[in-house]
Amino acid sequence: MIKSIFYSEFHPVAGPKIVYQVPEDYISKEEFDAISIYIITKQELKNRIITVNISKHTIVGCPVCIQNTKYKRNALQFNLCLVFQKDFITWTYESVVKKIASYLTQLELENEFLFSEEKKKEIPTFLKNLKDHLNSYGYCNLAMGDSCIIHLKAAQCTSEPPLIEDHAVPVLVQNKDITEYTWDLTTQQILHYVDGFSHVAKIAAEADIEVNRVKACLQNLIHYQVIQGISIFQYSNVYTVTPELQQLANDPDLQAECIFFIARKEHRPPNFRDIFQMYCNLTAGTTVKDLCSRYNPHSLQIDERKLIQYGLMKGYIRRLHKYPIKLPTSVIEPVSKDIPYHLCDGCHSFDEICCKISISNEALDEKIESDPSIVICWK
Amino acid sequence: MDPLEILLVTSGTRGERLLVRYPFESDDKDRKSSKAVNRNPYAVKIAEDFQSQRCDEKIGTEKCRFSNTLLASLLAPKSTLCFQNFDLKIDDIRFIGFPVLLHQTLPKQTGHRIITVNVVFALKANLEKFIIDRFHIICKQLTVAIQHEERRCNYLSVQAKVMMALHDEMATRTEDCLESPYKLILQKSQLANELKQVFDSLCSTGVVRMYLNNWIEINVCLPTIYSDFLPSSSSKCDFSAIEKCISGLRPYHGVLLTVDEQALLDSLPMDSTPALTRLVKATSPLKNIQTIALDADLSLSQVFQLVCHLIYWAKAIIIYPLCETNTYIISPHANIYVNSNLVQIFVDEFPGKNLHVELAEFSLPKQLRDGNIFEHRYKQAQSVKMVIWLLQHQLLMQLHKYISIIPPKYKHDIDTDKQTDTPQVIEEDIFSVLLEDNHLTRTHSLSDLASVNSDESFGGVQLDNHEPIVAQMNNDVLKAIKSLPAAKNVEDLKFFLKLCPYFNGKCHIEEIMFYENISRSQITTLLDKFKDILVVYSHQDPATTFFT
Repeated sequence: MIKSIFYSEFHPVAGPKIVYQVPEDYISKEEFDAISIYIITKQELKNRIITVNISKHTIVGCPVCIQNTKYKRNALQFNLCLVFQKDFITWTYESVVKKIASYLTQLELENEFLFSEEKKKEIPTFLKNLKDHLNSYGYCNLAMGDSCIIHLKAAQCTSEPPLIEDHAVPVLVQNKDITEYTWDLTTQQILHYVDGFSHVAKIAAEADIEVNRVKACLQNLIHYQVIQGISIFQYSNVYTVTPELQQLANDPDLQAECIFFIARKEHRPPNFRDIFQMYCNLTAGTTVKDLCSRYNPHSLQIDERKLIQYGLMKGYIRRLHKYPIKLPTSVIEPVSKDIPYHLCDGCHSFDEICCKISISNEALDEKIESDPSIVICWK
Repeated sequence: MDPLEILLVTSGTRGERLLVRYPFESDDKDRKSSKAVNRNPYAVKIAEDFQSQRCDEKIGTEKCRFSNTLLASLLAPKSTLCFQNFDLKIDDIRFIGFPVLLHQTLPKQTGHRIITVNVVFALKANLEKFIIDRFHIICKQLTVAIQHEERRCNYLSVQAKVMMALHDEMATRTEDCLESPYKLILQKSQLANELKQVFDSLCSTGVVRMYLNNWIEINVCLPTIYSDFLPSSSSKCDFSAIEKCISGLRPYHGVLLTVDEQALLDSLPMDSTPALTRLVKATSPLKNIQTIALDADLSLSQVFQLVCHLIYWAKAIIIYPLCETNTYIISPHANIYVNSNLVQIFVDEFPGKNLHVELAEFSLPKQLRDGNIFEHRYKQAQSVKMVIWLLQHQLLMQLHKYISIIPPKYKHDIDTDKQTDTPQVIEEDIFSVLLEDNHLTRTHSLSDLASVNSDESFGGVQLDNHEPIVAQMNNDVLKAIKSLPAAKNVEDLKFFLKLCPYFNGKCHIEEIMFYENISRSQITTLLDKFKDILVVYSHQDPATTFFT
């Protein structure tokens, strides 16, 4: 939240000072004097984004200096700064500050917006609107001067979204109907096939789109938090619960959501205790198949695929991956051609290997079982 | 995480001075190269790109854009900003410092007088707050030490005089001499060398342990030292997890030293507290903190502090003390790469064994006592040793059993209305079950119970502890408890209600055993009796696992 915005200038007589501020006196004169060298800076630092953290506030500004003989002391130095509470994450506003600085520079160069005392009077209202709009919407389009509209938007997360693997399964986390029509055609087509169970390679084949383009689109959707990537559902998979599960045990709202999600739609809702017990029985060594034969989820109105999907999405359970590891042996054995030894280095899980050499899980399992020099770690 | 530069800035009666700047060579080189680039009028100006800015590893070269004089004026803050954290970010460089005000003891001193001093680290701006805070601590230690030494023996004044003389000398030299004055300063000044030492050790090991002016100890570390414990596979290391672990420390936890005991004792400074030595000697992976406190004859709170200290310095990790019933499984972040360094270390430690073969044993949860019954005693000891080693290297994690109350009938959407009509009745029922046995025929509503507490004539019943618990309970739960056959037995019901607060999925069985001072079999019997409304599940204890 922006706590305050101020416009400061280098006054030819009084030196650096705050000219306008909303709300008034949020930054006191003493506070400003202590940090004025970071607001109205030396020439070398002009047009750089400067953030200074002092006892109570974080101030972000971008000093500007326009040289012209018409100004007293031959230069106009100003800085429009945003003030936040201390240790606020401010980098999302850095682009805003920089853009305002260049808007103001442009306005000044074109029609002396800051030089003329008359025009300058617009600034306080502008500051107020700027603060209100940015705080409530995260963006603003404000008129300034006669013909200029200032468009600003606080930057969003810019970290690279995680790569999505061929064998991962995208799951919608937002309602499809709301989002579908705002995307490009390719993404729309891909979204059509995102059902929470098909993996990336399958979606690519079904949608008849090149797999790397599918991945790029899905990555984009992950970035906008429309989908989430989870591991593929197989009856041979093994899962285990995480400490997050206690949230589900203690929160009736989450329980209701969970029941709604997991229910086989046409039937009456399942019993929560059954759901919870199925989650708790997901342990190392128990495959989903084992679990199903023990509980018969069908009769409990539980859709086991959705049970696993929901658990993974919420982080209540995590998948235990199977890693084949080829032990170094001194004896030279007849090397079986079928087994991709180079992939058995502890860095590639069964899913990855299967996907890479296009082989079914059971087939790979059989081959590896028969080789005594390979051990298997689950993690 | 490594700092880009260390700087020493002073301000005084003759203006601001940048006395020390290290490293300086790269500085010169970069300046030349950047000049060359700028001179080319056709050089492509790269448009602002926030993403690459944040990821770019070569951010450091940007620092050369700031001249020495500019840095001197920027980093020597006004006296009003002294004695607080200094944090200035310019584009993608962050300057961290802790300026202090020097109080001159000699009022009539002539010549230059230093008023404020600031040791500053230039860092990449995208570091997390947790790391920045550590740098603030380092700066604070350094400037406060300098301040003290200045008061004691004018250390800074003397050193500054040496440095400024060199600056002047270099300024008067001929143009062709391109040598940086900071190089010369490094040769002549002790303080400059000490700061260089701080910088170098932060970059290489992340630990600073030295004496400023052979007098004041500087003793800090960067979170890099925890990198051995943290998941190598996870994309982003969350160092603040260490602090979470420290806050989760309980008396039933144990301490596992990550370094050899003797090596640790040898590395302690001479004036370290004898309590720490006693603690280290008393520590064993089999003991919990409470036992260690007794054995080392220290108070529990002192042991807590010392243990946190060891964790801070990455000399120990928190575990649950080893016992036969402990269950272990491969940690999700274990490095199981077939050619990792660990493989060789493991062979050196346990000749004839293979890390991956042993690790594969823990693919399924394995109890420490599993398969040990008929084994030779030596073999048992060997396997315990191995588990300790695997824990030290964060390859294993322990599974604990947690319990939640989940009644068989949870009718969320069907008849919630009905249930809200009759809460009072149910609660009375529960109490009446308990009270009947004590020949109290009167039924109580919840409002009456307050008077029961204070009334001595009802004193025989130990209900007081349970009332708030019962009052908090959901109607579904109460109904379910009531319908259980085990609830008919008052002793069982009392015991159950006593333990109820632990059945929230946040406390594992070992924690309940410790706090209630009961045996494992007592709990398991109870869990069995009330199994229709309880659910037991196993996962790791977040306090003993560094990752989240």
